[in-house]
Amino acid sequence: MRAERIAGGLAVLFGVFLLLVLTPWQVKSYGGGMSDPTLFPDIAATLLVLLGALQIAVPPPAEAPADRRELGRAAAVVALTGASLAVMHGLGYLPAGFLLMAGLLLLMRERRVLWLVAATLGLPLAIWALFVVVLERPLP
Amino acid sequence: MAEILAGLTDALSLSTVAYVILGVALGQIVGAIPGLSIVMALAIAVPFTYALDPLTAVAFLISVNKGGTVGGAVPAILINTPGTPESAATAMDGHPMAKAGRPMKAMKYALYYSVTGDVASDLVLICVSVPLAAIALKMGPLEITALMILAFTIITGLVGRSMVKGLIAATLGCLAASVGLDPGTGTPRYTWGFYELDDGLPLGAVAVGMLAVSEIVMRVAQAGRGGAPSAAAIEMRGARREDRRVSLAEYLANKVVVLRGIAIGTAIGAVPGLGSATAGFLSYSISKQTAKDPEAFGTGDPRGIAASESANSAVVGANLIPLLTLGIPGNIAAALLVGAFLIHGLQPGPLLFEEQGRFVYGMFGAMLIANLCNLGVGQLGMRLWAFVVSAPMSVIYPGALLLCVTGVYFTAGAIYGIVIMLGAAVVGYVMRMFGYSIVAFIIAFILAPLLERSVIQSVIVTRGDPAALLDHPIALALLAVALASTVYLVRARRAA
Repeated sequence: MRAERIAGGLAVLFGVFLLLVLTPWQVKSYGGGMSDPTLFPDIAATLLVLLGALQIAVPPPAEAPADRRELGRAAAVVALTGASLAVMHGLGYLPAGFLLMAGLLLLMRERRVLWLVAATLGLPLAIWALFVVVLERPLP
Repeated sequence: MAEILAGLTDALSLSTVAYVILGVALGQIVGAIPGLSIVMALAIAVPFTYALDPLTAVAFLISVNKGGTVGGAVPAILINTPGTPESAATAMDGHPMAKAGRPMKAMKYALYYSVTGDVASDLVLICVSVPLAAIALKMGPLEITALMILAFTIITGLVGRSMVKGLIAATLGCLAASVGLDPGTGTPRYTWGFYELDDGLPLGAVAVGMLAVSEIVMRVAQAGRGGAPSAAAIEMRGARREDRRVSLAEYLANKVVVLRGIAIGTAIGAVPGLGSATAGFLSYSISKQTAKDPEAFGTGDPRGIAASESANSAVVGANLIPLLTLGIPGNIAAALLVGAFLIHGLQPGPLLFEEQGRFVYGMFGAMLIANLCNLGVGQLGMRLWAFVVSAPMSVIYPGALLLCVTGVYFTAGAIYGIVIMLGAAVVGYVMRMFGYSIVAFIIAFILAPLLERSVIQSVIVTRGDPAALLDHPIALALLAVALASTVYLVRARRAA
C-alpha cells in the first residue's frame, strides 16, 4: 500500500512539474483557449495530478515487487542492448548482433557450447542474410 | 460489385497468398512458444511489412493474428502451459486428453474448432461492417469526440486490475502522443529542438519497445527461477488410429457448444477492451454450467476444447468491427493493425469503405483465405510445433530481441528509432512492475491524436459554445453512456 501511495505521489509531482515547468518551457502558448497547443498537455497533466491524488487517497492493490537481483538483471539487459547499439553505430550490424546474442545467452545461463555458438553466430548471420542478401535492404 | 470482384482478385494474387501462408505459419509458431505472445509477434512484424503493398501487409498481419490463436493451443494441450492467454481455458480439457494418450486428437479438435470460430466471425464482420460504416459516416466531430471518450473509458476500465492505474496509463499515453507538432497550429511540443521529433514518437518504436522488448527484459530478468517444461513427456503418436484423428461425426457432435462459443466470442470481440481470454473462459464456464454432466469437464471432454477455441477465435474477426467502422481499435492487436494501416497511408474508419473499397474487400477475401491456410498449415505443422515447444527460452528471447532491434531500425529512423524503442522498453518494464496497463497506454497513444483533432473540429463547428452540445443528442447520449460505464466499472471493481 505504501508503494501505491508513493507511485500516486510521483504521478502528482510529475503532473505539477508538467503544468508549471515543462509545458511552459517546451510548448509555446498563444494565449490559451480551446485551440491552444498547451490545451491537451495541460488536460493530461491535470488528470495526472487528480488521478495521482486519488491513488494516494484510495490505494489500489499493490503488485508484487521485483527483487533487487531481478532489477539488476533487467538493467543489465538494457545496458547490453545500449552497448550493442553503440557497437552497431561504430562497427556495424554483425558485431553488434554477436555481442547482443552472446551477452543475453550468458545472462540467461545458457552453458551448452553448441547452443551458445549456434545462436551467437547463427541467428545474427541468418537475419543479416535474410535482409541484405534476400530482401536487398541494407544494414549498417 | 466491380470493387468487390477486384478486391477478391487482389486477395488471390500469388504474393498475397504466399504472405498469408507465411503469416499463419509464423503466428502458429509464435503462438506455440509459451512466453511469446501474438501481440509481440505483431509488434515485431509490423515494421517488416513496410516494404509490402498495403493489402499484402495487412493480410500478413491478420494472418499472424489468426495463426497465433491456433498455435497457442499446442503448448496448452501438450505441457499444460498456454502459449497465449486465450488458450488458457483450452488446457483444462486439452491437457487431460493428451495425458490419456490422445494428444493429436486434442490438437485436431482445437484446430478445427478454432478455424470454425474464425470463419464465423469473419462472415459476421463482412455482413455488418458495411451498414455500420454507413451509419458512422453520418456522425460529425462532436459525435466522434464523444465516441472516443466512451472508448477511452471502456478500454481503461477493462484492462488491468485498477481503473485509476489504467487511467493514469492512458493519460501518459496521451502525453506521449502530444510530442511533435501541434495539429492545430504546427507549434513544436516537447521536441527539445530535435527535428526528428517533429513527427512525434514513432509508433513502431514505441509499440515494439513497450510490448515486446519490455516483456523480453522481464523474462530474461526472471530467468533461472525454474526450468521450462518440455513436451517430451507426452507421447505424440496415439496407439489407435481413432486416437490420432477427429471424424466428421465427432466434430459435429459438439455443434451446440461451438455455436454458443461463436456467439460469445463475436459479441465480446465487437466490444473494445474485452479480449480473447475473456471469451474463452466465459464460453467454457457457460458450457460447463449448462451441461447435463458438468463433472465431465476438466477430464478431457472435447466440449471443453470446443467451447474455448471457438470463442477465442471468434474474437479475431469481430475485433475488426469497431476498427473498420469507427476507427477505434478493439484490442491491442487491432491497435497494432492501425499502425500498419497508417504506415501504408490508410486511415481506418468509415471513410475507408468509400475511398478504399477495393482494399477493404481484398482484406475480407484475404481473411477467408487465411482461415483455409490456417487449417492446412495447422494440419501439416502439428508435429513440428510440438518440437518448437521444446526449444530453449535462452535462445528464443535473445533472438526475438535481435529481431525487434532489426525491425525498428528499418522502419522507425535507424539508430534514433532503436533509442526510442529502448526508452519505451524501460518505461514499459517499470509500468509492468507497478501494475500500470501497457495496453491502455498504447491504445491512448494511438487514439489521442485523433481525439485532439476531433476536439479542435468540434470547437470550430460549435464556435466554442458548449451549449451547442444540446443540439447533438447522439453525442450527449454517448457521453452519458461513458459516465455510466465509468460508474459501473468502478462499482464492479469495488465489489470484486
